Amino acid sequence: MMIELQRLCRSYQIGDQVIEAVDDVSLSVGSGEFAAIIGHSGSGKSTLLSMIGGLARPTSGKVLIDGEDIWARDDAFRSDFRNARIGFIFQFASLIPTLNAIENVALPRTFGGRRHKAADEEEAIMLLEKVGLGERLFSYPNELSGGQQRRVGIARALINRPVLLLADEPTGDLDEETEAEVMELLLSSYREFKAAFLMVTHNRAIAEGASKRVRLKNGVLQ
Amino acid sequence: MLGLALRNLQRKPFRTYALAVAVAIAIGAVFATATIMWGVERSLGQGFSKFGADALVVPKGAVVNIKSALLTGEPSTFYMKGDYASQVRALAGVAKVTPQLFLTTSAGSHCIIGNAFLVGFDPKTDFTVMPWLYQKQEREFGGADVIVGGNNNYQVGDVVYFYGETFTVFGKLDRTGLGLYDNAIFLHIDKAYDLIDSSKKYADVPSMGFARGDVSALLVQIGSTAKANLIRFAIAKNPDVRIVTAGNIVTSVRQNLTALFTGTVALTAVLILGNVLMISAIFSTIVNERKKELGLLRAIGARRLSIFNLVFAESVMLTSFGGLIGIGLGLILLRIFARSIGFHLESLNIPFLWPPVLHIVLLGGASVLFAVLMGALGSVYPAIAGSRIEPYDAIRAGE
Repeated sequence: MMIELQRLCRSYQIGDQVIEAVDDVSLSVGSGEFAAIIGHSGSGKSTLLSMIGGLARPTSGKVLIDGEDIWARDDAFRSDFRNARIGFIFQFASLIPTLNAIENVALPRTFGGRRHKAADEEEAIMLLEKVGLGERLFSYPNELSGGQQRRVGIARALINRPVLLLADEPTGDLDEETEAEVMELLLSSYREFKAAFLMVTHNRAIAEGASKRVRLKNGVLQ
Repeated sequence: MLGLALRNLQRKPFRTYALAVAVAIAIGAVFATATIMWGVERSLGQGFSKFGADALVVPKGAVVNIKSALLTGEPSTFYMKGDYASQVRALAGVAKVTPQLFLTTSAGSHCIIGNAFLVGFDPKTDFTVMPWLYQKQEREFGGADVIVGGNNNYQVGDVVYFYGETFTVFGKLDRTGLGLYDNAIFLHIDKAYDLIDSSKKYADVPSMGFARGDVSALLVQIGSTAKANLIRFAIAKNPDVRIVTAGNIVTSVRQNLTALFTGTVALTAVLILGNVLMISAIFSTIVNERKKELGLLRAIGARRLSIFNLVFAESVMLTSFGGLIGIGLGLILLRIFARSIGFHLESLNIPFLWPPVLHIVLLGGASVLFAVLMGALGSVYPAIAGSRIEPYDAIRAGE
């Protein structure tokens, strides 16, 4: 699994002004590699991650995954690709409020056309136990703490055994102790799945532990 | 996906129930209106199909009255010479002709009951009364017998009393929805003339104003291969009579009823259009409100079509639920109709025939399908808008 970014750009037009959120970024990350994307707020980190994940279309450039440009394919392809091969962990509580922990974790299986309710739920339970939520299987998001919600989000990201893990400041709003637990979980997961792991973070200590550090300033790679 | 749609509906119960009730009101109105209209059509249709005659030949001044007589059972007071029947019978294409004489009794006319509508008919040539007997005595119909319409309370074998004479109820007609038949009491036309003669001995009974042999109407059956228009033209040459076809009468009545129901249908259409627009507006708000969630679903692999289906399913489930409540509401409206307007029509001797139960069930099913269609139409725009949301923009919504 090789992710290769070729001269990736994304710009916004606000009135007459064109803002380059990501400007001419080229980069490659392989399987089993952990790349930390660092930079100040508004430096284009999240935008870069979303283009890699097939969520935001680049203005120009290519996102090649195993040599295939995902933005040259149609939306259905990218949806299936996200479902089957990417695990997203967001910087906010990203759970569906009407579903309990098991249902939230098993939700990606609903879209992949591989749904086997009992097997999916069994796997969701296994993942929830793995992230330490074996006692909160039937809890709804509003019954869980911020850290617990993030753990459910990680379990959901792992259910389809992703080859690419994308995390956008996953510990930004957590206390130190919970942050350490969540990071430990993410690091052990990417190692277990031999996935490529790209994480946007402000935390210098976390970035220090990455195999590759990418610094962005005003959308430009430093 | 359906489970998720259902959970979304349960998320805001007040909004869900309020929308469902709005849909229910529209569907209830559609269902009740359609059922009543069907009932009216059936009352007319069955009445005239049972009537058996293709045309009525009536005295010149009786055209309007005859429509009233047929529908409500109120007698016409215009008469014409009965021997005209032989001239009509002689016309090419005329299959059958039978005379009828309409009389009325009053409370003071030496009868057991007042305000009865008597119809004298000729059993020898009749083709419109006897075929619709559903209860009768096992013997020939005689001069001292009467046949009662389906709305009368008399039973076969009962004895009734008109103008000083007693009659036996020979048989009872099936209920037709045609006032003339349902409310009338039929007797031999010769006996009807006898009654008029005998009534003259009562000083307090007003004169009927016609002579023996006069009739109120000639009922005409046209041969299946004959050209009805040619017969109409031939009869119309006689300046003293008018020809009224069943179709004329149905059309005339239907036009009046159509005017009444067009207003109701227009109101219902506005109600439905309003509902579709309301669903569209509310689901657009819902999509906007859940933008972040929809973006999230897209991020974990939902295709555009999945998002469309989610919004669409939620709307259709809601309106289907509203539709089912609407059927209940419609049944209540029909009960109110039966107890108010229906009862009033009955008291005016205008019979109303409900559609058969199976048809009401089918109408109910069609109304629920209508509700589904409302949900589908109302959700198309918000569902498309939801499916077109860019995942990244949606996820960052509100930041």
